[in-house]
Parts: sequence; C-alpha cells; structure tokens
Amino acid sequence: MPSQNGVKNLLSNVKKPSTPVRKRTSHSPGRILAKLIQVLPNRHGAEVFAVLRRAFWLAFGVRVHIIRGVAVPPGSCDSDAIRHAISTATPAGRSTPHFPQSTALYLPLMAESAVVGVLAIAADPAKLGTMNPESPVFKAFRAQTVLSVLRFGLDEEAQRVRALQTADRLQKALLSSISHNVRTPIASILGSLGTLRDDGCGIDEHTRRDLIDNAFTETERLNRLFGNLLDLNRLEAGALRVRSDVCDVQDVIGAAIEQLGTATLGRLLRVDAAPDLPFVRMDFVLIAQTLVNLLDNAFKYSGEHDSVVVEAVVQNNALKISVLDEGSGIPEHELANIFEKFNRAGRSGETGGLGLGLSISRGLVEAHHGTIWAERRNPRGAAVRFTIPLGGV
Amino acid sequence: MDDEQGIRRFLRAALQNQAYQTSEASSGVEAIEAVMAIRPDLMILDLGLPDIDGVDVIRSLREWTHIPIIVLSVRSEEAEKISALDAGADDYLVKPFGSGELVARIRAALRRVNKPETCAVFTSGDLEVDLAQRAVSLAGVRVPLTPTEYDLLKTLIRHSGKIITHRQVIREVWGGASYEDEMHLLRVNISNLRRKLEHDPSRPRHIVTEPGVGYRLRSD
Repeated sequence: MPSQNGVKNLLSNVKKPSTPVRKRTSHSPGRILAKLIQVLPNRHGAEVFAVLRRAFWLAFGVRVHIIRGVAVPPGSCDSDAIRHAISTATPAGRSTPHFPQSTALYLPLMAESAVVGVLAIAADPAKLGTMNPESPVFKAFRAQTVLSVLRFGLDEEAQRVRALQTADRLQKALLSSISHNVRTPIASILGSLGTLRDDGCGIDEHTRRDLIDNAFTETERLNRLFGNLLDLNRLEAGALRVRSDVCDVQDVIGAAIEQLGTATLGRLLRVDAAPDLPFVRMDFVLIAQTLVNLLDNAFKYSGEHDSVVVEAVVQNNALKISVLDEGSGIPEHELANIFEKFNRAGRSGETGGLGLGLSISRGLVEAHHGTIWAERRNPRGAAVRFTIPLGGV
Repeated sequence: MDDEQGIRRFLRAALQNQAYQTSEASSGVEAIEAVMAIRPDLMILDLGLPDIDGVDVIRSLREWTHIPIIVLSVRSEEAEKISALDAGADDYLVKPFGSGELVARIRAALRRVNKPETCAVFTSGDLEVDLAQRAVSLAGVRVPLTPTEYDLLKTLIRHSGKIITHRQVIREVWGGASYEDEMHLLRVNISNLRRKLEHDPSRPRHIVTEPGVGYRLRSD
C-alpha cells in the first residue's frame, strides 16, 4: 500500500501541466478522499478542479468534467442531457432513462436543493454500471466538488469586489485630489480678481500687475490640470488613437519646450540630441506631450539654478529620450511607484498638481510599445527615460 | 461666431479694443445669413457648434466667398483642425487662447487678403527673402538654399503668419504624389531649412511646428 504521503504527492502532481496521466493503481477511495479534503483548501482557481479530476480518476477510474453554474456550456455535445440535469436536478445521460445516448453521465451538483453545477462522468457503460453514484464515498466526493464550485464562485466574487473597492478607492482619491487642486487655484483667482474689482481704485500699478499675473498663472495651471484629467480619461477608456507619422525628433523636443512656455523662463535647459538621429515613426503630439510632462516634473522638483537636460540617442534599435534633473531625486524604493496615478511620494515640495503626469506619460509611451523608467543620478537628481522602438507603431 | 456667451463677450472686448467692428452669431445658420447680409472682412468660427458641423459651414461659405475664416477649437482635436483647414479655413486657435494670439492671427489672415503676392521682399526678424532675386539672407549674410528648400520657403512665405497643413505644403511643393514619401522629404527639408536659417534649430523662431497639423512661418 502506498504511503499516505505518496497519495498526497500524487494529488500534488496535478500542478505540473505536462504531467502525463498515469495508469491508475488501486488506491482506496476513502484514503483518497481524506487526502483530497486535506489538499483542496490549499489550492485555488482552476487548480482545484484539476485536483478533483485526478482524485476521481484515482479513486473510481472515471474521467470527470466539472461544469460550474447553471448554463449549458456553448458547444457541448450533450446539451440536452446537461439541460435536463440542471432543470430537473436529476441525473441524465448515459445509464439513465434521460438521453442515454449521451457520451457521459451527468449528475447535478446540489447545494441546499439548488443546482450549482453538473458533474460529467465520462466512462463506458460497463464501468458506470459498477460504480454507484449514491454510495457514501462517491457522495462525499460530490460534496467536495460542490464545495469547490461554491468556493470558486466566492473567490471570483471576492476578486470582483476587491477590484471595485480599488476602483472606488482611486475614485475617492481622485475626487479628493481634484477638489483640493482645483479649489486652491480657483480661490487664488477669485481672490485676485475680487480685489481688482472691489478695491480697484486704491491699488498701485505694481500690485495690480501682480494680481493679474497671479490670476493668469493660476488659470494656466487649472487648464493644464484639466488637460491631464482628460488625457487620463481617454487613456483609461482606451480611446487614445496613436496617429503615427515620420517625425523629426529635434522638432518634437522643440515643440515640447515651446509648449512649456513661461515655465522655462530663467531655467537652465539644454538639449543634447545626436546630430545624426534618424526620423522616427511616432505620434508627434503624444510624444511632445510626454516630454512636456517629464520636463514639467523636472522643473517642479529641482531648483532654479539646477540644470535640466533632454537627451536623445538611438540605442538597441530604439529611440531613447531622457530628461535629467539635478533636483532632490527619487528614493530607490519609489522608482517604480512614481508612474502610478496620484503618486508624488518621495519628491517633496508644494507642487499643486494631481500627480497624474507620469502615469499619463507611461500610458502614452506604452501606446507606442515603448518603455519608460526612472533612475537616480549621481551626485543628485533623477533621470526619467523612455524608448520608442524604431520599427514604428 | 460662438455658441458660448462668455467667449463672445471676451472676443468682442478684445477685438473692439483693436478697433475692429464686430457682429455676432450663435448658430451655423445665423452665421451664414450674417455673412451674406453684412459682408464682414473676416469670420471667427467655433468648431463646437450646436446645430451644424463647423466644417460644413466652412464648405458652404467657400462655395461663394473667400472671406478669411479663423476657427476656434479645443485642444487635442488635430483631426478636426485639419478638416477645417482642408475645407478652406485659413487658421485656427486652440481654446483657451490669449487676445494677443487672436489679434496676431487676424492680422495675418487679413494681410493675405489685402496684399496677395505683391510683396517682393519678405522680412521677419533678421531673415530677409528677396523673391524677385531668389536671394535669402540672414542678418545680411547670404544663405545658399537648394531649389527644393527655396520652394519650400517660398510656400511658407506665401502663407506667412498662417498655418499650412502638411498636406497643403506637400501639394504645393511636390505636387502631392505620395503623402508617405513626401512627408519624409518635408521633414528633411524643414530640418535643413531650420539648420540654415535658425539661430537655434531646436528652438525655431521663424519656422514653427504646429504639432500634428503643419507649419507656420512667423511674420513680425
């Protein structure tokens, strides 16, 4: 008689996809049941059903298929028998009065008088004749199958709920972030304009100028913020279309710098592009926008006297663009996280943004089948780099 | 014409400040009727109209008038801008825009109407192009251009101050055989022109790229 561990190992082997189906040796169904009950709780997802199938084979010499739910799987050859088993909660198929020409015997899986699935037993009529589906051991196996079906359903439900909860959490974070980041500039704008309107006469020219400039800057910031929100929305809805065209990389970089406008004033910005850069197929607008996001970040997180450099080279059959700054840098453990939505961790300072720029950049780069990543720089600062395959999109 | 009251108010203020007379319409139908009745010198048209497709309005107008049309559109709608331009609009502005930009575009659009091709010498900053002599100089120094580069520059000058789409340039310089091949040539020649004419090719002051749409030769 094989050892208890041996039986357990037999059941464990189902994890490996290329395990050949072994010839059945005689194991006591009772012992297999005991091991099944031991092993099942540690299995999840589709593995559970693989273990069950193996257990049925070892214990009874029958091949089973487990149908979850009360819908006849499309393309089933014995749909009549299956439907009968589901709707009447009685066995159908081979060796039964109902649709005996079927290729298998179909036993309804019951949980508290409700059908939760069907156990299909494919075996020749002789074998089926010797097997007793109502024997205590077989019923116990069926019970385990029912439990597994229920557990699988619960797991799926739990995953759905978790996904919804995550989405909900993000939604709340977004709303809270928007609320703060929109209300703050609006307050500033209202304040400036309100003062100009109400106390207009008593204000000197210099202050008036300041108030107007402030309102202008804050409005530009709000505009960028809405732009980011819309982009994120389009990215997530999969509504982003990459309009691929032959582009001059220098041109794209230049356009990005142009778009930054006053943000570049008084800052040390240098472009380091190889003179023999080939033209690259990409979406001009989207990549320019990616650069705007990266440059905006570089400016936000570095000081006025720190230099920011844009590098462009061809490496490994891809265009590689890098934005380098000499700012506070990104902590090692945050390097991957910064591309997540709302993440501004590790980079301190009042920025007034939503923390969406990098997440959007990642979406835009990946839409080009490229990759984006961040590195620390010596002695200080960060490098954010992305690649665009030269093969074209 | 714009269906947004706030925008109309701001446009009116900005334009009247520049001594332009304005008239307003808030729907496509009103606009076409107004153009017929008032015969304005220029039209500003918002592409987000409620009752009719802005591009259709342009097409209808272009059937019988050459009135300069500047369209207003929102960010990231390149396809829309290109359709409008190809249908006959002269230029576009992306909302939000400043009144300074608006006035500059209006001036450029009106200039074309008033002085078609009579100008023999084009100057902008330290760039001078003598169209009669086919001579190009930068800060007084002659710059040699290839025939294609010169044709390209001439095309840009013809549309100076206004946007010209990639397709339009290709059509005017290369006859528009194959967009793909010509696009490559266009990029190469623009790049070469910038290298010859711009102090900093990576930050062009004269030949400006309109991302995803085309180019614009700035004219002071």
